[in-house]
Amino acid sequence: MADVWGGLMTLAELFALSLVIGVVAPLAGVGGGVLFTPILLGFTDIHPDLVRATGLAIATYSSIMAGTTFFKQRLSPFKLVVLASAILMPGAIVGAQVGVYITATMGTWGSGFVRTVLGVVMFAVVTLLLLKRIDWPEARCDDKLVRVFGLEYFYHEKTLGKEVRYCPRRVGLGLFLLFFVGFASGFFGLGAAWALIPIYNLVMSLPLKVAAATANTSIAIADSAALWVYIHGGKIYPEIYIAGALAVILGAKIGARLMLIAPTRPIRLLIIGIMIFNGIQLIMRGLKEMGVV
Amino acid sequence: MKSKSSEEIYAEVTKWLIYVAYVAMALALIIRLIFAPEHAFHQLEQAIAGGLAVWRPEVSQDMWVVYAVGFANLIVAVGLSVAVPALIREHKATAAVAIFILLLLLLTALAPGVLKIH
Repeated sequence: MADVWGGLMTLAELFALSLVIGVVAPLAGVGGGVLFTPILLGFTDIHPDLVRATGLAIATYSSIMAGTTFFKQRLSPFKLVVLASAILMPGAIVGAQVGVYITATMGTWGSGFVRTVLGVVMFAVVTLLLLKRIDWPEARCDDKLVRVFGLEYFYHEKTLGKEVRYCPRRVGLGLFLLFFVGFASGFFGLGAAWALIPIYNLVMSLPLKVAAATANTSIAIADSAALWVYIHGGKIYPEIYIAGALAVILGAKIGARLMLIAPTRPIRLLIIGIMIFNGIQLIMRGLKEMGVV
Repeated sequence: MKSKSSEEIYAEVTKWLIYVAYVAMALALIIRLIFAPEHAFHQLEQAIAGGLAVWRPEVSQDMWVVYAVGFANLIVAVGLSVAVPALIREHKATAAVAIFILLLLLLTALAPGVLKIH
């Protein structure tokens, strides 16, 4: 018989951990899923599929919430997000299918492989977080796809006190890259803002603020589709899925408010340090499970 | 009267639905914990120990979780469906992409066998 009191304590611990992840993630400039999935995969024995499904849920619901604000303000171009979703979604579905297939058919070796690759991805995330970005790229609306899909937008920039015009450039190349971002999101159960911001800003030349808002709203539709792969396969566990997702999202709301008063630079450096440590830990544990070390 | 844009419609619909989804998921979890605590915590023990790789509903309280999670995951599909008429008015090419996305979403949600490779 299960120990109900012990179970409640475990659930409370899981909720508290997820809440803390949710609070600190926005202070570090990353989404909750990017911390939740690697930390739980690195430091707990919970099956990778259950963790990844919860990570995807966090990414999906956070992205839906971001959309309720950014679409109205036109900080995130809805038509570009629809177009991006058409590419991100197949990538995310394929990524989720491959992820589930690897852990289902390759057992411990497969779990180790997922952990190792995620550890490497953590270093990529840290590198992309440190990448220099461009605040105001030149707005040139000469891309053919901009005309075809109506991607020319205006929003009111408070700091400049004027309407800012923007449209994506190199749309074809940007969309091509999005497939791989979708794949990574579905495969690892991560949000994808860390990869989407550089693509939108540096490749597609969206203003930094627009790129960040668009990255936060882009993954909802794609990850919602990828989540069905996990749901149909019975890869969700209610207490982890619901308690984890709700706690991270609640924590993110608190974190967003704290951002206005907390010293974000030391927290950001601390989180980057944790991500590096987490990456090393994931690689070590993964290689051990694969029988390499 | 000025009609609402597709982004305004999508944002408003999803805003309300996501709050309903949060409440539904929290209630489903509470129902499972109150009415089937030993079942829930036995599975939690297994999950924490890494022994639970696949979860299937076993008792009636589990079905609330299935409905709540399923509903939460349909939010973007509902939001996009409601925004499609406005998208058709604004830009037909984007509306076509949105309809393609909706079809793919419904396919993944309703016909799991079609996309299952494992």
